[in-house]
Amino acid sequence: MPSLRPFRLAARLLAVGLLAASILVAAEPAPLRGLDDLSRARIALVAGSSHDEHVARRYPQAQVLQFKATPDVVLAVSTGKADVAFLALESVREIFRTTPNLAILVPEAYRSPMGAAFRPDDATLRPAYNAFLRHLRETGVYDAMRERWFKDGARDLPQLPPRGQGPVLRLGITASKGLPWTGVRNGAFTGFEVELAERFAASLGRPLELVDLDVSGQIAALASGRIEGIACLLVMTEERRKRVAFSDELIAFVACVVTRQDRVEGASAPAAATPAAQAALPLGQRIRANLVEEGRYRLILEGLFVTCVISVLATLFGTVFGGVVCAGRMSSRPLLRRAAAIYIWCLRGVPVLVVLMIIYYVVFASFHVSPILVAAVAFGLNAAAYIAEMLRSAIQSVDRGQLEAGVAGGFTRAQAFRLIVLPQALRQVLPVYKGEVISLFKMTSVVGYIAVQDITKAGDIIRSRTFDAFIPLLVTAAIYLVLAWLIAWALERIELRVTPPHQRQGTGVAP
Amino acid sequence: MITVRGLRKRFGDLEVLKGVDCEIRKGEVISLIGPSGTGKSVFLRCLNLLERPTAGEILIGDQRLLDPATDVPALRRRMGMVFQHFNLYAHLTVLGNITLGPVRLLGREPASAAARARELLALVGLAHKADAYPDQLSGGQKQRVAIARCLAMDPEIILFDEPTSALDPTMVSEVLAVIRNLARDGMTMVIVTHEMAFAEAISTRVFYMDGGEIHEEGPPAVIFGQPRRPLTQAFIRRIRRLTLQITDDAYDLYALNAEIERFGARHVLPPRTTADLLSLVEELLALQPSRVDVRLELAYAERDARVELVCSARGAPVDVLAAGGAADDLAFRLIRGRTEEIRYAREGERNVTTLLVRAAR
Repeated sequence: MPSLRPFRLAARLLAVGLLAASILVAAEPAPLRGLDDLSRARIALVAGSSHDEHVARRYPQAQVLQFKATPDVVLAVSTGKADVAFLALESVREIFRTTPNLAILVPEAYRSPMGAAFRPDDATLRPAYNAFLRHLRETGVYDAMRERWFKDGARDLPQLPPRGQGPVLRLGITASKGLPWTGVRNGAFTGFEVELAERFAASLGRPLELVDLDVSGQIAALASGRIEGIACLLVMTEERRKRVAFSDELIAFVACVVTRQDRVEGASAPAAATPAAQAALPLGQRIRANLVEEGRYRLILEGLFVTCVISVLATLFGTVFGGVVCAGRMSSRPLLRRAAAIYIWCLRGVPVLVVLMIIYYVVFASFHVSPILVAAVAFGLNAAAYIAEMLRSAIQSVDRGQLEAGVAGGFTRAQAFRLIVLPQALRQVLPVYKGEVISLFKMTSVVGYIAVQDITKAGDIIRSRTFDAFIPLLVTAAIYLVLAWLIAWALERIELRVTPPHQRQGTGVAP
Repeated sequence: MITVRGLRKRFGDLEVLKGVDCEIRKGEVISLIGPSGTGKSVFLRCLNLLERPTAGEILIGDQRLLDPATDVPALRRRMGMVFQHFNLYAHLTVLGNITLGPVRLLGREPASAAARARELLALVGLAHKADAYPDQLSGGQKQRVAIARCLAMDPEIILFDEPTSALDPTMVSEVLAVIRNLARDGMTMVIVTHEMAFAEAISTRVFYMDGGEIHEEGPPAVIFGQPRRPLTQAFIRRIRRLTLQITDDAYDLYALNAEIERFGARHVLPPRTTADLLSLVEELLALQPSRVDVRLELAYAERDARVELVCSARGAPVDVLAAGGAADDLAFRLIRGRTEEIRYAREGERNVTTLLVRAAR
């Protein structure tokens, strides 16, 4: 009943609906038989993964859809946004558990060795890792691990050797890769790669710190010195060999091609046309799966805490530093004025995400500062530029006569500024300041790029386990909405307090 | 108490003050008058260093104001200033405006400062406005608050920078009344003003400023009555008289009326007198056979409180106000009822009608 389809789709929420809209636009897609049909297909894959290189070489005519993480790839193919997806064979079982409308089109598209990676100039850690691997294989631990994670479908880490005391070993992983490789359960990293990393750190007698980065960010983090090695096993592609030194082969990576069941030639009926398989599950069960199971609400709460900490620190820092920049901008010294103007020009012209990554990967590359602090600094620097200009225009909007009256009345210029001009300027600036704080708060959602787990990232991680876009995104959106409203409410209280009663009408603030 | 020697002030290429010398003694009320742009306000603002002089010397008591070692804010505390645009602190209530200085600078207890502020507000007639904000007050009320704010610092002298120039004519007198009371109580004051009648009435001395210097100074009776120097004479004559020239039948009656109203406001004429002048001028012009060249001159003589209205029109000899003349009865009676005396004269090619109007009191 094609006439019903638009209606059914409209009933979905916006995020899913937008993806699904492409189904309507596309012509009736041809059934797929095998690798030969891929040459003109829409292929979904994770950006920076080995698939990327493989597909570019083998299917130059194909339309490649690059996504940040595996869950997005799964969602794209299950909603029909992409015809096929390239995935690791080992991941597929876990994916099929939650997204049953998918089918394997080609079980083995290509095979390639995988390994951990180290800096090209590394002379100690890589040999140590290879020795550790040999030992693991000789003692049979390695085979047991593979059995447990890949065959038995284990979800939790076993008892591991105790952590050491030496300097911290930082290794990169990708939590969104999903089990059996790496995932998050009950607020902790788990998976084959995690166990391997833990055992390696223990063999060195060093405590381990796992840094969660996207696949595409791993090599940059390694090069900048943020991490000492990449524990997220990478396929040894030619391109990567130029940038990093791989360990001995650990495991053979098998890439498979996945598509939607109804797209496979000879599939029975287009019954599986639902945009997401989860839609078929009862809502209560979906909420349970996304928020309760494996303690996922804890991820969200921790993310919420991180978002709040970053927002508060960035706001405080941005406000104070914004005041400093404003003072420079209005200084009587031309040099200070110029410096402040250049600062404002730069920070307002560069996207905050780029500033964030510059500070993380370049400025603080070789210091191990907490990424939360890095984020607070980056957002604070950005906000400072805007706040400085707001303050300046507010101060300039205060009539000169106010300062003059204060000075003529016996106040020093500084006193007159503090007691007379500043209170008026601050009252002026509050409404715009409120908007800036809220937008700063929302901007923090990009901190996932530098391995900080805020609310948005928590939602991503949950999606990587449940392959459900709807609930995590909705919950994330609701939390942002409520918090933004709270911030607005709190600042409006302040605004109200500093506004004389007779002026309160028309401020847009409810009394 | 204030001695000024050789004061010069230059803004870029423009020398506004070209050497001002004067002495202001305790208890004096000095009015600074003169044409616009002759440095009256700049001179006043130099006295408390809101403008920094380019050269010269200012002594407050025995302290050199321009000496870098002088504590200027401390000196300013002893000198109040009232501004043209009031400059009340917009974020504070009336009471807050008045107590800010005493509490922050003189170390007064907030409670006693507030009590004193209420006394001062009663003095300027605004006791009921203590909790209002500046934007809730009329211009005249703002200026009175500003005066109370000055007084709260117990100043030895108050500088007034055109205190009524930004006010509606209706509010001028309430502010002038407050200043008059201060003068009566012996407050030392320097007032830049365009209110000549007021300056004449309350000043002990008048400084006529012109061309960046004090051109002539003296008691008000001399400056306003028999000024010695030509520039002063011309200025006094100019401010006393209003001359209007009409060259066309389509003259702008509203602009004309506005000029006459300004004349009335400048001389603090009662509103009824100004209204009389407006209708007299309108009727006189209506009666003229031709309006191609009509000159109107208004002059106010304070001594006998009369306004002289002279209408001089070029044309064939005719006395438009002669009894039973061309004038229609109503207009004639209207003019008669408002004037004390009417004279007609033929001067060359002009008919000159002079009306004397007694200012209502």
